[in-house]
Amino acid sequence: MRLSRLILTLLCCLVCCGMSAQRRVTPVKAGSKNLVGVNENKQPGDSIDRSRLVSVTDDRGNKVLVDTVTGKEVPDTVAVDGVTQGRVPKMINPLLFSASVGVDLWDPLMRIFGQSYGMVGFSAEINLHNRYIPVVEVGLGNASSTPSNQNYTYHVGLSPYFRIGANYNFLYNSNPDYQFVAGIRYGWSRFSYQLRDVLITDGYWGQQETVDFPSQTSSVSYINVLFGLRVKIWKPISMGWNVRFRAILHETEQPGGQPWYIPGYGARNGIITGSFSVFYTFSLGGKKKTGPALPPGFEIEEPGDEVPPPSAPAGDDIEPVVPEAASAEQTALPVVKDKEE
Amino acid sequence: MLLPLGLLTGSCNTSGCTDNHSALPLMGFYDYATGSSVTLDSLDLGGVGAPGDSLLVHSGEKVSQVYLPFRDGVSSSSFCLHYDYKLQGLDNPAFDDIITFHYDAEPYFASSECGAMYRYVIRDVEYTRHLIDSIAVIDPVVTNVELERIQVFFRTASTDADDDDYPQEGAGV
Repeated sequence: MRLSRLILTLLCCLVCCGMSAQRRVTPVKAGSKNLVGVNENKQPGDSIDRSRLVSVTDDRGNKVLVDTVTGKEVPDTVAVDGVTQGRVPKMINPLLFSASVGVDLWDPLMRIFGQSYGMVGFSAEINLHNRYIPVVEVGLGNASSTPSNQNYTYHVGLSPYFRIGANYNFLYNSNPDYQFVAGIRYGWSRFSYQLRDVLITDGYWGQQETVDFPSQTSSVSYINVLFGLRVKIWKPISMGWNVRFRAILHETEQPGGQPWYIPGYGARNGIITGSFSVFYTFSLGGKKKTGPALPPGFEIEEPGDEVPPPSAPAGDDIEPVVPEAASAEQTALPVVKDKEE
Repeated sequence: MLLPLGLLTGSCNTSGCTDNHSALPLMGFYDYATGSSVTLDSLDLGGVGAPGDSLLVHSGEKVSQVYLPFRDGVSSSSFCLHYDYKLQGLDNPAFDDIITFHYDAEPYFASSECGAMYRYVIRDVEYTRHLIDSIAVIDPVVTNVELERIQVFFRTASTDADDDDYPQEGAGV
């Protein structure tokens, strides 16, 4: 009997020892009461204590959340029934983003390389949202060309031209130092042209004479479709290149022949031309929108009077911050214990 | 950076003049009976008053069309047609035909490649009717574009049997 009691006692001890040596895992839902996660990157205003918020509707119908402790108001960005829905803005730059003036150096440079026509052009533009760019261009053009193996000198006195149109910047939400644009222009010019020193030779009748043909006045309207790049090179200075496809829309009927050079349009020798411009850009001072769109009447406050961020834990004696409204058991992280305490 | 654009621009230029460098009316020869084009091989054709009586067409050349250079500085040009057909008895100055064009010369700039020239607007045509039946002016505005604007209809041997032998004079555009 004593022997059987001893055997039973030993078996119980063995069973107990075996159970105590088994790894014990804490269930997931039963979290620790002592360890709490801390967001070390938390900044003032990153989170809102919703227990202190009350939702009100302002006089414009916008839902506003008011912190009952600090009195701070923030728009309800998750509201679905008004303008206060949180969304990525279509254009992050303000309406009046910048203005630029430029000078077209294409013709002056080409004249250095032997071109016998063209003078200079100027442009002014307003950049709306860094996306839509209305443009006005004015300039002067002239020509005095005597082609080789030809019997004339084509002359156009200094004449103005005007162009109006707009560019569309495909990189409107990117770095404004770079633009890739497509644009359209309507141009117009009225000018006089003349064929001078025309050598008329008639070998059969034995005649040869040099005459000046009468001057003719023409009015021409045309269209440009362009694609261009612009790059900021130094502070407000930027450079731009354009490739322009051109077509004449209307021109005065001339019995004596159509003009060869048209101020602003260029020489009538193809459908493609180009421009190279230098721009000076004025910033119009608009603020860039970086967050969700705010409803009318709301502004983004500067973080001056915000609650200072919690200091990073420096030792074991620092107690973690636990939200007041939530119980510790609900917010505690699950942990694994090696031993029962 | 400018070079690619310059090459692009240059590559689209139209080079060369595909038309004439001067305004020359082109005249064609036709059989008045059939309206078909005829080729003459014994015709002398030259401008009246041309230096050295130089000819535009010499007998022995086979021609069905000829350019007629109009004289600048005057409002008319005349051309003489001498038929050198000895076997048919036409080798006689009495059967020569004279065509006179009255026109206005206007300064004209064709293009940068083709140049500047005078173009002509034909106002009237006078001609004798020894062997010429009629003359048609298809387009009175003569530019450097190559186009047969004048058609001369001859009485040819096969169609000439019933006609009288007396030459007549005619005029018209």
